[in-house]
Amino acid sequence: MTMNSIYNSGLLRLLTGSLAVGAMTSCYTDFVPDIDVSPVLCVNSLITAGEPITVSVSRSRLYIDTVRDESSKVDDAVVTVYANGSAVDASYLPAEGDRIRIFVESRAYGTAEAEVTVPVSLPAEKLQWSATPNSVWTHTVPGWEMLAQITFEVKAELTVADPAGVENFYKVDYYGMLDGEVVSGGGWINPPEGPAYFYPGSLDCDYDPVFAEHIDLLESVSGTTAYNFSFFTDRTFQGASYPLHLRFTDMNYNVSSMDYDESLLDCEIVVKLSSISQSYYKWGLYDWQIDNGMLGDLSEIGFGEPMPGYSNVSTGAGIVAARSCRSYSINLRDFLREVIGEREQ
Amino acid sequence: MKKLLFVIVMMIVCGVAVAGRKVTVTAVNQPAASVFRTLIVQTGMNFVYSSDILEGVYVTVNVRNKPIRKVLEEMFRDTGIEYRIKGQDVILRRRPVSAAGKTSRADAGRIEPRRRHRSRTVMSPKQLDEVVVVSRLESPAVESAEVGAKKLTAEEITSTPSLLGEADVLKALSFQPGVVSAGEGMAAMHVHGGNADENLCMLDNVPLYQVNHFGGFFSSFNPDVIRYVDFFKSSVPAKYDGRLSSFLDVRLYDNIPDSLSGTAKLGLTSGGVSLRGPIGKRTGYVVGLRRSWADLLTMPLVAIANSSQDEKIRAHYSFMDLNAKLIHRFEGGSKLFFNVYFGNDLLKTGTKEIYEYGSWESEDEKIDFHWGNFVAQAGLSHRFSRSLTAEFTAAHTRFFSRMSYSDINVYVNEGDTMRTSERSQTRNSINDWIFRGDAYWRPAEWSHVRFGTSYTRHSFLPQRVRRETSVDDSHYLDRDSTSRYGADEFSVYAEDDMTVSEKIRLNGGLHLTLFNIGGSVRGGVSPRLSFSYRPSDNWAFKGAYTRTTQFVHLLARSYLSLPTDQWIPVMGDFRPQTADKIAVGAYHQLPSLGLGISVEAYWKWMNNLIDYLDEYYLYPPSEEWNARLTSGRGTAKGIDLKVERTMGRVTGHVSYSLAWADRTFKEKNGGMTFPARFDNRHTINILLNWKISDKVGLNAAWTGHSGNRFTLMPQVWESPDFGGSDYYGGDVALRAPLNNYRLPFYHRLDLSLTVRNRRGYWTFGLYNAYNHLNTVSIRRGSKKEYPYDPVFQKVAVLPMIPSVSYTWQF
Repeated sequence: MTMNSIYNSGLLRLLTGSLAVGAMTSCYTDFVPDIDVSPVLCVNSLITAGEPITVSVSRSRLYIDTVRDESSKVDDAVVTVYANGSAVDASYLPAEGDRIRIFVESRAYGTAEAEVTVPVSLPAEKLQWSATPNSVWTHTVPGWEMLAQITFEVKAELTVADPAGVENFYKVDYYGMLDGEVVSGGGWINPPEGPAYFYPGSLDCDYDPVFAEHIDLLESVSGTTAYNFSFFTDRTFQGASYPLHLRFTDMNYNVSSMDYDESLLDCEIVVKLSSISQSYYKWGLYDWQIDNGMLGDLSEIGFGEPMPGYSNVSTGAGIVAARSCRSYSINLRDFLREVIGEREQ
Repeated sequence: MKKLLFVIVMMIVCGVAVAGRKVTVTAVNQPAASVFRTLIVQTGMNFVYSSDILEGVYVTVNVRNKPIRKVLEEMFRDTGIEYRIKGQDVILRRRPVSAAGKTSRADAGRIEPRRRHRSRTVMSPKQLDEVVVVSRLESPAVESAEVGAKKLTAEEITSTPSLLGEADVLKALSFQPGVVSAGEGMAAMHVHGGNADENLCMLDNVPLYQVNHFGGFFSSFNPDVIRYVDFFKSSVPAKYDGRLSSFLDVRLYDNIPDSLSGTAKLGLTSGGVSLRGPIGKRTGYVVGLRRSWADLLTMPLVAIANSSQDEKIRAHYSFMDLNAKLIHRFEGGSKLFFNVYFGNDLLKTGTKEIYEYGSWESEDEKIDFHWGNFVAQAGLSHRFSRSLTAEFTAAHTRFFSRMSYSDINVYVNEGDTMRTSERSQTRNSINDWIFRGDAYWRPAEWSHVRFGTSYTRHSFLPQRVRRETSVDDSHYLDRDSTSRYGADEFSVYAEDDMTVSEKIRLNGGLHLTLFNIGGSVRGGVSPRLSFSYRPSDNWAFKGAYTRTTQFVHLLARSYLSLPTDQWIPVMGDFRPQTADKIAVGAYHQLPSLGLGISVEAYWKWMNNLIDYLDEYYLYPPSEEWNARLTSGRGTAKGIDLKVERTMGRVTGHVSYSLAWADRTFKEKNGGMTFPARFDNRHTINILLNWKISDKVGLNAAWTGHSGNRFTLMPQVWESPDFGGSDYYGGDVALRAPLNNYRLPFYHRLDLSLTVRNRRGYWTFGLYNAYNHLNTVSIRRGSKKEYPYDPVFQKVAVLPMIPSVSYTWQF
């Protein structure tokens, strides 16, 4: 995080007064601490139900190492994956409810292990949605060319029924599709500049309070938002149905074609609701805290306790997480046709 | 009784001889007490007086080689104070007022002949109670029964150099052995390896929860209205409980002056006015107002900056303290008093921006912080008999913190207007209603009994958050959460300070507390025991056992003292925090040199300590507080050595502390014991006050201590790539043992020069005089010349900072 981003995060603005003296006069001096360290194994893996397991093994290194990749490399790691107590091979596909243990051994760096249970996916009871155009511009030359630019937002209500008796963790992801192709960051039919373009905007994580339950007092008042934090828990609706409110903003659809037909409107949003392991949720929370949270800012400028990374690996390095996903589609074809049609009339 | 007779006889024997000693002294408009030091050095006499009668008394005297009687006559002419020389002591008192309201001078200024003395020097018990020996030649540490106690006078506070010339109680205390400042320039302190929230700060015996301004750079105590400060860090009177490390009772003036006096001060950061005066014969008042004025300076600068740009900035910070006290003394000795304190900080920031690119858009962002304390107190002190006095007090103390954020956007395009707004408000407060009765009973000459009871109704509001957004006419309440706790605290205490023999004093006491929260009652039993053995006039040996119990604790997420720090009562499975401390001390005085030497050793065991879990930040705020906390224990041990000089032109002290402090939590640091953050092995403090002349004084304070402990995480690991927006990409810090690294040795010299004139005095200050940039923290940064090369960086905050202030006395 740069000083500029610290400022933008709101912390320094908030503490302008209390830190004024320090901010005006603070001084940073580079140094190399004289402290003994031993590298440890780092294990990262995101296990998805129904998909092969991949494990990334590296090792810890000094923060001040400038040759990062080389310093983190482990050549002699042996990885063993256990499912429900039995070793499995690379072709194994984990199922919901499986208890997966990953054990890594290296002669140079010792051992590391972590265990996670693949959570049971959560079917949505109901999905309702509506789309609202923010701005529409069309221009048609009959028989010649169709031009349209539409910015819009989509609101959806995904009703989930949370299983009782256990603490559950969830994550919402989504991506856009245009003519059957994934266009997460925006894309054309027939790229690079085909007749239609769809940009699926962004998920407004402040729209539903469950995405903001991790935001603390000072963060709240300093205007810090749940920006990009799409994790949530069932703390506020444990064992009950909950209508999860989603808002996708700044969506953009453009068409510029001499051969306009409705097949160019084949846009959709695919919402992926994942049941995730606690380790995945905690990793997401750490990631948000270090980048956007108050504690990350304080530790960055030296006025708070340093924040070590969250890890569920025995060595304290790495994350072994698991998830089970279900996807729900929002087809925008009728909405776009309607908007263009209204303008045409 | 034997002791009293002995003293009387000695006084008579020495009386005439001493009175004949000749002295030379020159003082212009000096506090009377400071002139006594000169007289003590030259004559070896003691000065005995009620501590309030010299408040505001400034004297001018210029004598050369004259008997002390002449000096005293000149000093106290027209001051309403009379003196008597009895043996080795000079006893001062207010001149009696005749029935006609005129001062009687019949006996004033007389040296009592030996024979007449016998009948006149036997004071009534009433008189004895009122007389306080303040200016004895003997070291207070030798005389008193306590271990690790310090009475800090207003003069000592103002003469200690401090940041930006703001005299500060807590910073003055940080030069005492066993006390370490919380950080560079900070007012908070750590005592004998304890945490900052383990110090009970009181204003006239009423607790204050937030005692800092400006993120901790200044304390809330206005030195202009302080009479003295009682500080206990080892043996603690049974009256006090509720914190583990120390007890600090800031006492305001409570005498009734003969005439109006006051000060007006203007410094770099703040200005203040204080007034003390009588209302009639039996009523007096003291009022003090201090306010920072930097905002008055920045206001026009902000206006100028805003006049020439599209982005308007909003910046305002100020703090203030208002003290007001009214005292009425009834005939017969009863006293009624009312005391009010209000202190607050106000911080406003924000920006307003306007964009015009075909469309018109404005964004108005405001952040307002307002936090502070309010104390209101009423009390009645009544003498029931010659041996029994009691004080009854009702008080309300409130800490409040209010913060609000608003961001209003207006977008206008082709006649369409869209207005969005986001508002957040948070509140955090504590309200305590306190009712207490404290009694002093003297059943026999050798026994001083103090007992009392108190009831406190606590109301904690650690957090109320309300967050709402609106888009045009649509309004959403995103969050509205409140956590509120009420608690009842009932306590009784009793102690007896017994003079077992001429050489032995014994003090035994007990403080019992019941703390009820949500129907769950927790108890605290805090026994106290101390003794003093004085084999000769110049030697004393003391020992003490003290147990203290703490029912509330502070949740702070930074090294700063922020208004968002939350006081939380002990709840759920947690038990009250306790500390057991054994302290011993040896004290020696060298009266001829005016030196006092003390060595104190302590060993402290702390149980049920409460702290954040290692990964407390992974728990959402909606979670119960306790879910983020864990309980453990700690130890602290050490030796405090102090050499103090209280007389002569050069006074001050040199102290050295050797200390260890650690913590053990089952759920922190893998259950391994780790050093406390303020495990400062060696601490040296040197405080010197040099009275260069009657008009000029130089004060120097040097402090040096082993660096604070810090958790340095030298290793990192590769962050996982879970795809999409989850990829953090940066290095992730690998957990390291807590407080594994000691910051470099901290040292700093502060200087102040006081120059008096007829109307008042100038104070010129120099904080960090030799500009040593002390490391207060370590951060992860990158090299300036190679921004992608990571590097550890030492963080230093305050360089040399000069200051100047003027105090006008009237």
